[in-house]
Amino acid sequence: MTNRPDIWHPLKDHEISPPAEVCHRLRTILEIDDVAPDPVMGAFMERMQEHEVAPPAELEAIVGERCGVRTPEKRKRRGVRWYVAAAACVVLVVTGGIVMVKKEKPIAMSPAAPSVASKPLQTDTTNQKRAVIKDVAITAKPHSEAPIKVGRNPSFSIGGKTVQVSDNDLLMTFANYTYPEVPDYLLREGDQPLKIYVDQYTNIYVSKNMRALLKELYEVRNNGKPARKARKARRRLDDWKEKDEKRWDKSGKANPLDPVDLGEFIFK
Amino acid sequence: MGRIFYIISIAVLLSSPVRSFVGGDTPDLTVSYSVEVMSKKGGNMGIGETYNGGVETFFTNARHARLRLVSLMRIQSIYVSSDNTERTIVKESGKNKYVSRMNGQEWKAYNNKYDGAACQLAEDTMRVLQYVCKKAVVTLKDGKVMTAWYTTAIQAPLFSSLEPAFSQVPGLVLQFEYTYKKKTLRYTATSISRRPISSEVFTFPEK
Repeated sequence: MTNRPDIWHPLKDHEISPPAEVCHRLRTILEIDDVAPDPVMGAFMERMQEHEVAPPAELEAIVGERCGVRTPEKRKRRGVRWYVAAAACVVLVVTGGIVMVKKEKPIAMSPAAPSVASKPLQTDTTNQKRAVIKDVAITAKPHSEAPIKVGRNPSFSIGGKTVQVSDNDLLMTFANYTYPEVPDYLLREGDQPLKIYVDQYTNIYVSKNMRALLKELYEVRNNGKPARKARKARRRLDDWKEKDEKRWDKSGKANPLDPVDLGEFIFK
Repeated sequence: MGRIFYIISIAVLLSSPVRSFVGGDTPDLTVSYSVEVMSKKGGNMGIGETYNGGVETFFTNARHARLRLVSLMRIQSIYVSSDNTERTIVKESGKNKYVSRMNGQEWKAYNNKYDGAACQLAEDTMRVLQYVCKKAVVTLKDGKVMTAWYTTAIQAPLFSSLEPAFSQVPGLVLQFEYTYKKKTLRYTATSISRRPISSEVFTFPEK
């Protein structure tokens, strides 16, 4: 008992003055005996009744403890930083989850090695160590995430339609149609390049100039025979093919995948 | 709360999806380049039109790489693995397909035009796909010049094994071009993927 702080004496002496105006009006009312109730004062008195002054915090806690009254704990106000940190955590977790869920399937594409031989091997006559490989098929499954399959019959697609490719040679395939099998996309004029889907990583384009040349290949006279322009286009294509093979396949000294070699070949 | 935030951040950053997202240590890489043949005057490029619009694709994982050209005229690939110096060239189109092998010395002789090439790095930048690329000018000893734009955000050690012109470029080249007789052959990356690559992509026929 003697160790407890003495709070009563300071509390007894603790006083708070009423607002100055109220004090003045009070004095006025108390000095006059018969006075009609002052409505304004009445309102002031009512407000005074409701007026609260919180006791000092330490005294409030001690009084509450003594009287067995629990004061509600003040909720800690969380600052903006807390909410920002929480939002950042949520974003990080969600982003990591999305990336993990969208883990990609393995890429598979046509290798050079076919699964089944279609022709007997032939020996190349060049100096380099070479052997003719078996037919390699590049079969495209258009507009799908499925891996590319290797099969006997190579194909690619244009406009969603699968097209067979002879010897994987797109140029010769386009050049060797016979009527009436010539596809529409070779016979129409086009300002836009023609898109060819080969596999999930390869869409090649036939340029406008090349489309014009391929269209010429199929021009015919009234009697149904190839027009002069068509024969000329055919000779040009055959000539290009021969030059290409001579440069890359027979000499063995140049690489079509090398930009300098390829540039000098096509621009000479 | 702050402590929890830091723990989650570190956990997510260390997880592989995020690292691969920023081109971290996931080795599998597929880059497709469009092939364009052009001149200032425009017009018909002749035989170049059979390569115009083609695609060259670079596939690599930790141990293997393949460069494949697909065009109207031909489809051809070169393979290399990190554990040996041999290159394998496979012609995949036409009536006469073949497989050709070169040892390290033969490959060096095949690419001897790049011996003594100088590579000058410039501060110019250009954006290719979402990558800010810097310029490199490769000058061959005979005076021929190639221009390349590369990013250091992606490293592909085997790229220069198949494109020896860029052996001194400190990053992956996303665009390169060669101009000859006022005409330009340009390769531009059109897609980059970090998806796992099936091992059959790097398999070639023995003969």
